[in-house]
Amino acid sequence: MKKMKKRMISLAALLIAFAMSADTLIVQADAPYKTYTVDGYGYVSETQTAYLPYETITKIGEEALNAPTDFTLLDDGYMYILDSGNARVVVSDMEANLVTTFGEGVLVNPRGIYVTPEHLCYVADRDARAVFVFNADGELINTYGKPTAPLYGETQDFLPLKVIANEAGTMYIICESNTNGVVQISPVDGGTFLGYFGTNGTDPSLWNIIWRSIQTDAQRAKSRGNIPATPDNMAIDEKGLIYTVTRGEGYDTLKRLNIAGINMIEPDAYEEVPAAVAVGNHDNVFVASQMGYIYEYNNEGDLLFVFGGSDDGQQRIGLSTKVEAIQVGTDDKIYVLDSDKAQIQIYEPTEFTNYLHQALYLFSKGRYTESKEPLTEVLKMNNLFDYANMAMGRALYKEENYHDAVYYARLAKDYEGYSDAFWEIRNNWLKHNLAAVIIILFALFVIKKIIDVLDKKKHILDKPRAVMHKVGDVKIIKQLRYMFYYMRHPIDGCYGIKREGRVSLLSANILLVLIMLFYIINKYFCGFLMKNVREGSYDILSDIGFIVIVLGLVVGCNYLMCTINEGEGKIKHIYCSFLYSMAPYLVFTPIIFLMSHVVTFNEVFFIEFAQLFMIVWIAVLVFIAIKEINNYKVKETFKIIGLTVFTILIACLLAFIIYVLWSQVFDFLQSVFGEVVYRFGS
Amino acid sequence: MAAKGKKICSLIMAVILLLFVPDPGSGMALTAHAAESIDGHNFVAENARYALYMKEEDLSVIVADKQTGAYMESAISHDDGNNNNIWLGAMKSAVVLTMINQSDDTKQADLLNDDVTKTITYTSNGFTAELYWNTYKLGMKLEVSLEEDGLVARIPDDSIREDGEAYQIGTISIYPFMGCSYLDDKEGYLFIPDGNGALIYLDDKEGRFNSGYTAMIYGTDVGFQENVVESLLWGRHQMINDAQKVMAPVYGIAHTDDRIAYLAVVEEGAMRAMIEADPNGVSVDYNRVFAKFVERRLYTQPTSNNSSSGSFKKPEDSRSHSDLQIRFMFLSEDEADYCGMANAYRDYLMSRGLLRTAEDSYRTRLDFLGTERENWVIGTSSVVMTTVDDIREIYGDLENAGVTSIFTVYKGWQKGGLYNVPISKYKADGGIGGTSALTGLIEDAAADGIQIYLYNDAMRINPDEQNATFNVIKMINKRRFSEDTHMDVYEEMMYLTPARSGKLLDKFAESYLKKGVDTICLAGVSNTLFSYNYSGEFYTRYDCGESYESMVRELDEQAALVLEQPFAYLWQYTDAYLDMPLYTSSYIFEDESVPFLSIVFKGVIPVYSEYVNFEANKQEFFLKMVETGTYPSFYITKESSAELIYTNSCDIYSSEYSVYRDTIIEYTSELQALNAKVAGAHIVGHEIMDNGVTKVTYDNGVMVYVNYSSTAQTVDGTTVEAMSYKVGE
Repeated sequence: MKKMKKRMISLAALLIAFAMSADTLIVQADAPYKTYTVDGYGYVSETQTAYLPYETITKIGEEALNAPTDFTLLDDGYMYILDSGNARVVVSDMEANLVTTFGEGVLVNPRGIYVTPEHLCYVADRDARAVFVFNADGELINTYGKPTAPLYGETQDFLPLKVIANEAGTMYIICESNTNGVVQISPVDGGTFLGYFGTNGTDPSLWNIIWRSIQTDAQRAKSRGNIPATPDNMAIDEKGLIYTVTRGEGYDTLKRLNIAGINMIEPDAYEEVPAAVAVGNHDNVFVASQMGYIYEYNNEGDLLFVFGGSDDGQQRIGLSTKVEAIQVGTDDKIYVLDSDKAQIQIYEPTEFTNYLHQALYLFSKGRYTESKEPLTEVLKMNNLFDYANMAMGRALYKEENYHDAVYYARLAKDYEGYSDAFWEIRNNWLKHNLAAVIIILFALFVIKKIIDVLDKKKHILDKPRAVMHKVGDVKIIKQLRYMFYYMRHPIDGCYGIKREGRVSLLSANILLVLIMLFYIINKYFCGFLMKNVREGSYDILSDIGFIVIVLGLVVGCNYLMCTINEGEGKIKHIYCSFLYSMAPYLVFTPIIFLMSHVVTFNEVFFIEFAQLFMIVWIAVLVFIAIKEINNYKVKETFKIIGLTVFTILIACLLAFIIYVLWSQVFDFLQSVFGEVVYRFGS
Repeated sequence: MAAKGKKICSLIMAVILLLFVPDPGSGMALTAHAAESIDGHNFVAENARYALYMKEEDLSVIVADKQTGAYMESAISHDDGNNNNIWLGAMKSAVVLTMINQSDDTKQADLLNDDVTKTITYTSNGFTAELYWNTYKLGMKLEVSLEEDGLVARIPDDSIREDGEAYQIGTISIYPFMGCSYLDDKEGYLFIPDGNGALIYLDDKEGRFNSGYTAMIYGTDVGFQENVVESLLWGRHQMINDAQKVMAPVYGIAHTDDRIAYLAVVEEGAMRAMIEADPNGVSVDYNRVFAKFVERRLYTQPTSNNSSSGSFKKPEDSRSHSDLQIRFMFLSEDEADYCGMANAYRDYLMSRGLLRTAEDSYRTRLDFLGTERENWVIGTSSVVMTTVDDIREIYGDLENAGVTSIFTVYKGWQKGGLYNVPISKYKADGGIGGTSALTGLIEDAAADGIQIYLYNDAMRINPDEQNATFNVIKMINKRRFSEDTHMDVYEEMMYLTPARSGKLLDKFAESYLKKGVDTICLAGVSNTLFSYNYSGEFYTRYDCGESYESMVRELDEQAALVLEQPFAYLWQYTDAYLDMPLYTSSYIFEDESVPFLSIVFKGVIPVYSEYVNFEANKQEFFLKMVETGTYPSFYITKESSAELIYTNSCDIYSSEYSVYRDTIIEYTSELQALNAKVAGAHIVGHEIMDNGVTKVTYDNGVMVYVNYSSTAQTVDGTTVEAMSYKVGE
């Protein structure tokens, strides 16, 4: 049995037989995996299948692979597979026919391979502690061992895992446990160490800095976050730019490094455990995760697709167990090497993906009008596809079709594009209507003047004015109007609240309701560019809950602190004064709200300034309110504010502890009850 | 060693074949005579074509074709020496049980390794055997009879006895190795009902697979929802599509070199049975496919709401009750392939009234989405996608373009939109024009020959829109079942009890029929089966299936019904098959996807595809429809599907009519012409050639060549362009 299992003969044999008789056999299969894309909010949404499983190569000619770890696919149709388990290089053509093998006896534990278009083959051998170079005939022509340069570090071991080389022959080598970065060796003089390249950063967050400052030296040396991560794999494109993937680096997992080692890509999604990276034919980049997920990005790092998956026993075609390498063919097929399954899985792009690639290419070359055609096809098949909507918006913008551009930009959540197109629309509107606006403004001004004059002479406004006064004298209105006075004269205002009864609980509650109303309206209905929440999502209850809880905590804790610190304030006064201190919010929000509908990113400063102004004003009012209501000095006020913040923290902690304890108790009781019922009840 | 054994085995087989397979030329001259015994099995009974032999030791049988001498055996006839006694017992016995002992469900009982009392009685056309496992105190009666259309093996429910305390029956397999073969000794394939149908070739798999196909007939049971290991992207997103449900309780094996095959139909007990197919290399080197009846299962009973804090494993309190019966329909010579199996299955269904002929002329299916809901500040607001007037307009536009034969399912027509389920009243959403406008549309369309069916998911209830406190099912562990939609507006759905579904459906039908319209498309109940708990009672899948069937039967008497992807026991009530899968689940051990179900239905009832919208390879999908005689389906909205972005239907990323107009017209003109030629005809031949061409032969002589390859190919003197098709006669 075991023997039989070992004799791995492949499906490839069958497929080759087919491939010989027909040129290519298109495998009809439905993908067992889903394909996702990421929308402008970073939300994941499903899309058409982007790549279908096409073929599986499990054997090259009659040669079975044993734990292969890397391979290179050349444009002329040759595949160099690093058959690590057998410590050799297997060369194959695209039909999985064996061309040759070499490296037996030289290689010890090879882990990475790179082959130039001229068939110069670099092999990184971990246990031989060397990079071997073979010529096209498989003859060893060069061996590069540990660099002797002092800069490399004498104690630093040389354990090459992956290697690539640029046109000049300079090698970039990823070494195990070398955290300085990618080792760069020039072929000059039998190998000259040029330095380290593409070093990852460490995490200099505030928390880490504080944490480090209280650690001992020994602890510091051990702590993980301070050692920059070594890249896991890399690739090089035609321009000589180097792509690296590093696990655990967050949005820096995928980097595109220029010659100076500067990162030029910002992915909008990343993989936790990347295994390999490859450059596509349309300025696109592919990242394969060890689990078998395959990501395709455009040249700006926008995630186009993620598909594939790991095979946990589902036994479905196209799922992987342990991915080690990924390559892209000239026909856009993706080749994924799985070391566990010892196979290369080929995926072929679907019609949908082909259109997208066409668009990608044209768009990146700036041929916007041409790119509209494939984009239209893409959007026909999926008109929620984010990248296509974005590109369509940009293309339309270039064609000066701003109205449609705004539509697509908004669908794609392309804020920049939206802002630009909207600016043009607004500009056009102003151009056409400026005269009219001026005339209307002038007319309004004239009318006002006339009314003023008439009023002076014939008192035509007396009646309305009387009504206004009457309404204004209604108690509750008066109390509400007190807000405006309070804003401008907070010290007198507090006196009014405290001693003169100028406000009531009712008026404060009305203000609270208004604040909630304004908050909700502004949050969900402000201009697209200023919107912080996802379109189409509403969560009113938690908004209201949030306001109520914050207010309750602040008022409650402040009151508690004031009572034990000789404050004079009653809870009613504190409550009212806090709400009246929010008056600037009620005054500014409508203005901000209206402005948000007409500004673009060019004028966003106005809104930001208004917001800042409002916040400072509120802060000053709150400060004065605490001081005046309790009759504190400035120093005492600061102390009270500090204490209040502390109390709030304690209250939150308390609530959390009680919650945790109770849920434990509850869960325990339920478990006991449940078990009794189910064991003996039935 | 193994290779040597294999060679010897092949040699023996060759000798046997030489002995039993007469020269084809002279073979026909032989009168159909049954031999006395084959391979230790004695003659028991015969029918016109086949003879039945049985070995008393393990009750294994051999069915031989009297004309060709080819036969299939239910036990392995040759041991490669790599099998332990447990496996040998399983590979030879007529009945194999797994038993449950406390929380262990792995112990096996068979006829060879255990102390079994057998009382065998021969009948006119077979035998019955009373079986009693003395150690485990379990008993049952196996009845085997050779009828004209096949070998029937049956275990009556009332014969099953569980006398002991310690051991209870978990599963029962009857003739699990029927038609088995060793490695690549035989040419042929295993047929499994995955998707439309799939084949696993009988070649030497060389140990590539460590598990085979296992699927519950009629889908998994949500009542036993288990914590399956999910492959989640970023810990959230399900990456792997669900495998296709098994629509029909069938499986089969064909030995194409011997020109003998069987199709097994699980006639009774199918609602709680699994189909397992294991190619060689999965545990043992024999190819086999069989049905495994589930009598009782272990389940996980959590003891608190916090799933991590406590649970225990427990078997069901009582076993499920149903007779267990499999019919092995043997096929010979030209019929001994998957196409023959499909034809035999169709004849079987038609002769028993399990499938009825419906009006089968070509129609293009245009489904419309009426209204959906999206979140708003307070509650939800309506998103109107396609109104009644829009549909009229679209019909008019298509009529002008020559598209008149249309079949429509109208989704989301009801008040409150697509997910305001269940529907208990005929009340259309105001947004689409209201009830009377809808009635008017259905009537006017019917006058023009267009059928409009109203979509009704009678199984699900939306707890956000309707009161789901009562009448929803609980799982066997008494936890309320809810289905996660992974969407933002309505995050979960629950399942109604079948009784409640029936009641609401009756109410709906009553108010609907009153208006003089009677076309209903049923979903949910058509393709779901579950065990459930409701008010202290436990109901099995049989109970659920029976309720659903009687509900559909009653409705069918009053209304014209189409069912969405219906299971086999409902086929007799549907006028069309909606959402026919054209592919399989793409298991690595599947070698070929074959249109088994399509062959069964072609010429009997119209079969509509899954939505063309969401196919990434449109041309290939089109060719698949040509090959299988499937009619195309489109999911259409008047408005741009971008409007759906914030609704639960946000997975509908492409549906706007203006986008699909040309495709609809093009597909209709091509497929209508093609299907006119094969109207009412059955598929009698289906051949997948090495050059990427598939040849489909109809019983009226029409042949369809479909070329899936990227170059032009010539078959039978006909040249077919790349990714194209041709019709010949």
